[in-house]
Amino acid sequence: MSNINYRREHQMSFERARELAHGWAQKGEQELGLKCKTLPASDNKQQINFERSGVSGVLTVTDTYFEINAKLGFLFSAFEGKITEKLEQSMDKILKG
Amino acid sequence: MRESELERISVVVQIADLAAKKLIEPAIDQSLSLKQQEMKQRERLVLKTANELLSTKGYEAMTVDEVAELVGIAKPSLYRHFNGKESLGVAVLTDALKQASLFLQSLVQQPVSDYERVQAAAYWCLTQKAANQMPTLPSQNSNLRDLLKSNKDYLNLLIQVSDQIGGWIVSAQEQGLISKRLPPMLVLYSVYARACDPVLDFLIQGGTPVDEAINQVMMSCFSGLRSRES
Repeated sequence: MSNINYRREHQMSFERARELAHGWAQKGEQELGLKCKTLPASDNKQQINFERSGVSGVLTVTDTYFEINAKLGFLFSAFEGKITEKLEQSMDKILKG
Repeated sequence: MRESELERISVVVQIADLAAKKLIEPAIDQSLSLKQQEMKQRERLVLKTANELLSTKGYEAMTVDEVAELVGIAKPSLYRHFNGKESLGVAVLTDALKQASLFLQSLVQQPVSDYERVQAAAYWCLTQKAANQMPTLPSQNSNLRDLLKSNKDYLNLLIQVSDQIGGWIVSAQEQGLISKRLPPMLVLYSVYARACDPVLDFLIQGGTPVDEAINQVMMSCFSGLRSRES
């Protein structure tokens, strides 16, 4: 069992950051079968819980950063390096776009 | 591994297996029409027959004609349930993982240690194999493998089963009951390998009674081959 922690600072508006976070969650639902649940947002913070067999976690977006904290099950822990790499790539792509 | 340990594991496996079998084959919903009930029953029979063929002959040698003949239905009737050999193969292997998952869930209810649960998982694989109820995976280059890799239900069950046994392995290593020098993934693969262990067949074909053959394979798996007498 292992954990993935990813954090990127950003310069965009909170509304734009939230939009991108929802886009990431939608893509995760379609492509990875994630079940996502958006939690009530505050003025500068939004959290989205995500889950599928073998992985669960939370995506936090604020007015200054994006953060993903994920917990991998036994099987996915063996591929932690690759999963972290893919996750970083997907988030970087979204932040650039 | 001592005889008394094996006896205990054998009892635990029987209890958990019985509970799991009740869950996998619940009574057919009586609110369905008679025709629908018949269809369900026939589907179960097709899956059971295909499972036996996959366990004894393997995927490559199994034919849809043979399944239909053994079930006693015409080939077009079988296609009403499964649209070909590959979809039947996916259904059988997914069903086998569902059974494994239910067995593990029943095992959680048993008052045994995580180390004993790892042993019980290996023991269960061997009993399933000895009863020709453990379908073998197709060879590396088969279309079925590709289909399995993209089948959500199959993958989710595989992850679920692996995470469950993997958790017990890690716990048993923390307690010093399984060597910490072995990567947990290797231990998991060793448990899975019991489901297709040819040693069991060699022993049974050579005349060793099934229970004794299972015990011998369990001993070599969990105690190794090195002499412990001195």
